[in-house]
Amino acid sequence: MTVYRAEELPVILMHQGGWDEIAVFLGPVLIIALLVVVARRQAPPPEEEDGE
Amino acid sequence: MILAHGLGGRSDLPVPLWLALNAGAAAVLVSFLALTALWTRPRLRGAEGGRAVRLPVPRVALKVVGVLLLAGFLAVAWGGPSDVEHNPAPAWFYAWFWVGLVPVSLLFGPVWRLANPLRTLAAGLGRLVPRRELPAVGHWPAVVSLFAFLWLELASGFSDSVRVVAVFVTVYAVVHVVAGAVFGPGWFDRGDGFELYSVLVAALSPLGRRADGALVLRNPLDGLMTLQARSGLTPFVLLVLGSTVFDGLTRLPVWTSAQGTSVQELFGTSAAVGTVGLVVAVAATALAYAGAIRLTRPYLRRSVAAYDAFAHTLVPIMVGYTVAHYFSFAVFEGQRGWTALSGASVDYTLLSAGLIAAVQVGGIVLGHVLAVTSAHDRSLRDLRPGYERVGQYPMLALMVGCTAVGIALVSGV
Repeated sequence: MTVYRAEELPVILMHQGGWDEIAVFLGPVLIIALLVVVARRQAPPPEEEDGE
Repeated sequence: MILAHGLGGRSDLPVPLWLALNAGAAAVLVSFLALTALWTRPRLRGAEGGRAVRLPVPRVALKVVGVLLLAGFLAVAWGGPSDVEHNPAPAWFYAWFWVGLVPVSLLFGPVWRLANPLRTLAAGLGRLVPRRELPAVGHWPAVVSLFAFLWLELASGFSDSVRVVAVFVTVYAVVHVVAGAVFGPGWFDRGDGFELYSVLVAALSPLGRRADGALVLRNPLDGLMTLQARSGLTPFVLLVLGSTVFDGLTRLPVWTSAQGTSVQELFGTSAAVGTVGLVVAVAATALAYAGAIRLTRPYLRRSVAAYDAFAHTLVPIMVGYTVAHYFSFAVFEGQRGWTALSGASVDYTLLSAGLIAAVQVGGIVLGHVLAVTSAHDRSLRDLRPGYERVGQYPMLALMVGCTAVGIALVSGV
């Protein structure tokens, strides 16, 4: 097994992405948007009895 | 150079990034759906939970060891070589102490509270100075002291300077020993960032104290319920969370390319860029939490303090992020704690990229699932009757978002 010292290794940039890759966030973004919209629409009126 | 503090890039993930992101978000969502179907009444008992166990607690030995370790550390940091290649003090401080607090606290509970040498020294000095009452400052002094450390570690640009680490630890120790002597041991509960951090992590330990003082084996989620949401506790957790977000950002290509460009010219030094980045990351994290709480507020019973109601549920997320961000750092950089003395090389082959990725994604997802579970139980107590499900949607949205961002950051998008 070869063991390298840190200074012997080159810097390698593993990835240079583009804006199109924002699409990978599409699933979580849709879930979040749906949850927020439903939460806002179904919020109880402030004057409603809160059970206390 | 090898980027040891995290994944080298998305190619290290065992699955495609889009799949990891969506699977992580789905795991949180499915956990929530399962909880709403199967967990229909509050089950967590908080400080009342747990089964008593008899374990010896070597209090005096822990105090002696703590003071000896601090003395040894300061002797090496001040008296040893000034270059980091031959002085292990920075590795001891960051990889052994700071990262080590997490597994030690998770396994054994808040033992750092017993071993904290600053607490021990302050108790001795306190016999010589008049005691004053601790002002009502909540946990804000701990927020300030931890921010100072996080700035040194992540934004200063000279975190690996042996003498800077020596100066920081010395100043930190003097400030807290004097404050602890003047204000009493309660100072360390409120003001020592490292101790508060270890206490928060220890809330997830299966070993803890019951309300009657007995040492117990307990459900870690019961431990979370025992956290007291004093002023400043929520900002403290958000500070740690935001700092890990910033840490992830600094390893993205976009951050690397910003160094030495117009962004740096705008703010001056790289330390200034780092400081602005750290503050923005923490502020963004706090805003996301505040936004979720704002949407949750109409659903809460009137007697519930909205901003702190779910602060304890952030702790598993904080621990998950910490494991994700520091796991490989601890294994690789931790070796410098002895290679700096022996002259041997750091072995970067100890962990495969796949294992690192699995621990990172697993830490983030597990942390969020625990957070959702804890938040669900709290919601059953604190949300208005009839709204227990929909009232959790804002916090669920926050946790789905945090999962996705966390996985994206450790993958180095």
